[in-house]
Amino acid sequence: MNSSKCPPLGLAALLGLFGPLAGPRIVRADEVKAHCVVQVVQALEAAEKKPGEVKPAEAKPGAEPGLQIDAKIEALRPYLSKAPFTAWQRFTLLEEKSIDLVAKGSQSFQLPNGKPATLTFLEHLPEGKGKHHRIRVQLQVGDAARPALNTVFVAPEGKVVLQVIQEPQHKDKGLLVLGTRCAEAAGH
Amino acid sequence: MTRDENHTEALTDELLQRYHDDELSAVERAQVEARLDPDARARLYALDELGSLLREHSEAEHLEADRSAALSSSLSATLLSIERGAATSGVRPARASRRSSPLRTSALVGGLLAGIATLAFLFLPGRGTELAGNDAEVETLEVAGSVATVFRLEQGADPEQSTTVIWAALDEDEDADTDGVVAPTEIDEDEREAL
Repeated sequence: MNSSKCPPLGLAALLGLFGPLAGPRIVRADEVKAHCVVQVVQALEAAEKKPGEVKPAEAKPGAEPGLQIDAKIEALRPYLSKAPFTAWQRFTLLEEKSIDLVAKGSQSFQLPNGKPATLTFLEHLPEGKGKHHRIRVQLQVGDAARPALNTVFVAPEGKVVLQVIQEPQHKDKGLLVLGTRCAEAAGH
Repeated sequence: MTRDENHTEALTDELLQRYHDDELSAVERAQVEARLDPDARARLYALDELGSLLREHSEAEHLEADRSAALSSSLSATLLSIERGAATSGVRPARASRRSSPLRTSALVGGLLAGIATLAFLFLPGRGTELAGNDAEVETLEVAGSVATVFRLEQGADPEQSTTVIWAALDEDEDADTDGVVAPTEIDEDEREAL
């Protein structure tokens, strides 16, 4: 065969030339970055019109009566219109945090209820065994020594996971709902 | 929250449990339904979720017990048939054979290992916990002064469109801490001495 006569140097040159076309560059785990979006939503029991208030999304035909969901979080409607969220009628997006994280990197931010929150990107998990690419993150709400919530979860890229902080003694402030979704950042 | 309100809260918990278990009279049910606020509804939903989880766990245990019984029965039948086969073919008693054949000892050890591997495959914890599909998986959950519930919300028939909800209900003391007020009950003896 001709290929057996090919000198090793020539093979190396061929690999060097066509190697990048053969597949994606192997990215080290510590080079992977994640882009996360945390939507901070307030849920209130009853609709009260206040001056200067942002108009909620118009009710759609067939929509649940009395349910008001901010147009910016319309994607969450299928979840927010189900029990136990049905006990709350008005959902307003208070903030949207856009967070870029390197592996093992954290970013802290303040929640509207005064509690600090920290999001940490722990790991990117490649697809396999019938599962999509997934991201492992840690979300901590409250003081590190005594967190109101400290959780590590793995979610498919781009899939929202809801975290709810309920303060029964502050019913007037309603629920605080965090919609967290992460994906591997492009262009690393 | 006053002491009376606390009492009402505790009574509501008990009533909610009995309401959930359908142990109340029609009048009591109506009274509870009239008092159901969003918080109570959320707790009722959590009770429902807990009930579902317990039912699923119980069903899984029954299934495992059935599988174990079937395996045991199958093993007994196999041993019986081996004994019968040995008797009808005039093979010498197994005890004597074992002593005289190292090869059979190896086969027996191999068979035992294969059996252990099969049992481990069938019954080791964790095998059943692997998630089917692409749901989020909560690996750790820590709450201080809170009650947390994890559940899944479906969106239509498509399992890809479901989402996971981590629900933490903070208690009053926890909230007092964030407001900069330390509840007296949280000062322990050592701290009192230091003060």
